[in-house]
Amino acid sequence: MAIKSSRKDRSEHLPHGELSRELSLFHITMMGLGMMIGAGVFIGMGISIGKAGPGGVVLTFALNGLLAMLTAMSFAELSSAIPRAGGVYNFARIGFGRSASFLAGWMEWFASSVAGAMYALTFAIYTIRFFDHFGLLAWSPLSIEMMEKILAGVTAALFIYINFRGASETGKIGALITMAQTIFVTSIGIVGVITVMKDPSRLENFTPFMPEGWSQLLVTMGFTYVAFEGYEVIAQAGDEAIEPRKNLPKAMLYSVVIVTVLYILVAFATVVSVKMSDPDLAGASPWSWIGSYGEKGFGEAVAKLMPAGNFILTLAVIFSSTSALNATIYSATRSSYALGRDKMLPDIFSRIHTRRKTPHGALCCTGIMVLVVATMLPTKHVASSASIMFLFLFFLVNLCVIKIRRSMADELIYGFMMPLFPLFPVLALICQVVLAVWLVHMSWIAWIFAPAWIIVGVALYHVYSKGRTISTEDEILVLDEKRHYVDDIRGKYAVMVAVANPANAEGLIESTYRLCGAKDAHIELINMVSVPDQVSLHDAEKYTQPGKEAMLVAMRHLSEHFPISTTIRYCRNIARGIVSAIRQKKIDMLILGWHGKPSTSLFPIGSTVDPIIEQAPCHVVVLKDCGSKKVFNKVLVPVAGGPNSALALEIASILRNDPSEGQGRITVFTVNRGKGIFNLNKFVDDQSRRLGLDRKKLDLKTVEAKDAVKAILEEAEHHDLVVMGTTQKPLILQFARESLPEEISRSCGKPTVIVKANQGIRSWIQRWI
Amino acid sequence: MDNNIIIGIVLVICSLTVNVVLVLWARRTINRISGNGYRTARQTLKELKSGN
Repeated sequence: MAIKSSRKDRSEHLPHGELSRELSLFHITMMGLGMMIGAGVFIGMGISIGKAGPGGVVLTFALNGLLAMLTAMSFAELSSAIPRAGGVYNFARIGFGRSASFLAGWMEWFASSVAGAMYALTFAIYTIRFFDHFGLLAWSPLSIEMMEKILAGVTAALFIYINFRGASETGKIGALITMAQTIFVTSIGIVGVITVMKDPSRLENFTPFMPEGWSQLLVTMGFTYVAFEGYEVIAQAGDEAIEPRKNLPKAMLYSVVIVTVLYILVAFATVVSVKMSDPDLAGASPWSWIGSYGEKGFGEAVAKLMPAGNFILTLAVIFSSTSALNATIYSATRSSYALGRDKMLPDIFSRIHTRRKTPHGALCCTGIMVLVVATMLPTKHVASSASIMFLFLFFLVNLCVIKIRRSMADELIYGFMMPLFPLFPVLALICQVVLAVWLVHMSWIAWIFAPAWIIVGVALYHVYSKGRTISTEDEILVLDEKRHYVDDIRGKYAVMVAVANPANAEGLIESTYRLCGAKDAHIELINMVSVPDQVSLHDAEKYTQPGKEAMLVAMRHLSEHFPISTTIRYCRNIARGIVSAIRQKKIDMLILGWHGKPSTSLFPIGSTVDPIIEQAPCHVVVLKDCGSKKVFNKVLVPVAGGPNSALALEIASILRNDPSEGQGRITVFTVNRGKGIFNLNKFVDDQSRRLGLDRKKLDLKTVEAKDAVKAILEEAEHHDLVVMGTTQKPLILQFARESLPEEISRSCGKPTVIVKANQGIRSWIQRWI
Repeated sequence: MDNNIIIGIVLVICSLTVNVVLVLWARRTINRISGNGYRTARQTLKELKSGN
């Protein structure tokens, strides 16, 4: 069975030009801030104070800032490792493959475009109301609603043109607008603080602090979460930012902390804006009076707080809406550009303007979507759909950061790595689930819009994108795959043997024969093609000859006895390719060889073997110097208890010479270093019962020594083979230290086998946490 | 003073402090990583642990 891989001439698929790299840390931070300080906070403030009370509204923004920081950490780490236009689309592609990435890009495009339309409408509504307030629109024959729609369309068109002018103009104009809106919003907060300093009695507005109870806090946090999602747009600037590995994560984290402080300040000012004795309150408490105005409550509060408050607020909303509109158009354009660049959408999406260096095709399509939504469709429920999509996206980002750090730790270059990994993304995942569930109760129509868009995306992917998409350097290519048997192997034990070249294959044959015979297994021979970094993955097929020869050598000896499949694959990282094949083929045991020399100081055993031992979801058996038909009459098994020691004893019992001929003795050996007593007798009794071993053929030996490595190496001199389990320790420790088995294996002159047992869920937890 | 107010003030201060500390820590890490040269996750973690 040969699998045809869809490979095309790479030159056909190169992007049509490159984006210009002109955005500094200041520009991209301002882009993030511009998207955050949008309509969300102005509308959310009044509603939140009505639902959660005066203390609740401040806590809402403080705790939401903390939650936003968790996902911002994930965004920051991923953007520093994958600094390319496309943001979540790229993360999903590298983390989970093409279909997930298409959906990510598809959802991001929709969510950002609809959010852009919403901001255009917000701008139009406040501007028209402002002019209407002064009676400047009395001459117009058009209705207010019609004028709002027309102005929204004109505003959207203007910002589409600004985006077409180029990243520099986009970033600089956006930065100016964001600066202005930040100054306006900050001035509201500062006036609130000054007011309290002059009149401390206004602090009584905070009593009662949580009149509606703490449970309302979750409701208001979900409602205002949208006001913190702007760091997503920063991830889109990977191709255009100066020093992206350094500046993208900084900009994301700075923007979150700035808006958190700003929102808390504004929430405080809103609460203290109205005096308890104000006659307009008519006996009501200030918080319930502000809350009674709902989404307009913030405007009423600011009008009370400062002279010309309505005017200043209108200016702030106008600036914030246009800034957010600018950022969302930018983000939506880059999402669809990335889909076009990888052939998941038609070529028009990947076109770069020769003079402006902007993706004008994607911008044109995004512009049409923004204009249609802004001028034709109702925004309330569609905006809720955008919120759900953003939550889905951020959920995916937190999954991606765990998956990518886990599986590509030796490939991607990182500019930032979050602390306490994976605590932050796990906490963020839990919070996002809670907020998404809450949004179901907020707008049921949104839960029709969002799945409908996703279903259309899935259909489009299968009908159009799946067959056309180009493979990237991060993917795994199947170059050749064959099955050399006709038997039914369902339910049989699956052993994968990784061969690199004929000499390496020769060294694995004898041990593989014994292990597969004992397990009545079928064999999957795998060769991961090694291609120099500077060579394109599309030329990988030229490098398959050593692998093919290795397969022939192995098959010549093994195919008579066992059902065999062969697969030749290519991946930039051999370890990731093998682990992926293990998962795909549901392998029970992996056998691979090791030449005995550490490749770098980072990897005690080898740059390929170490990551496989850490990540493979099956038993792993690493053979060093076990070929050339060696006979193992005396086998040493150093143990310290645990599943790896148990597997080591099992493997030793299979590899030793036939004990029925009076040979093949196993010495189960332990070193007492005075750190605790390991019951060797009980361990051997349990294991010999489990494995059906003749207890008389097992010698037990305990020595007291401070240096375990030295003691084991001395004992190994009297044996033909050393079999030992690898250490049980989490990934974080494996990154930093060499363990005892690796040190012995490296120093021992005798044939050595290192084994690692798969323990199902325990192994999974150990691998990930 | 109402217990809710005390809890609220503590929560606001804690969340702000955590945010600021995380950003300062991240800034220092980003500068250290860029100063040492960008490397893989495994190499970067090893360097950070060794205090370089």
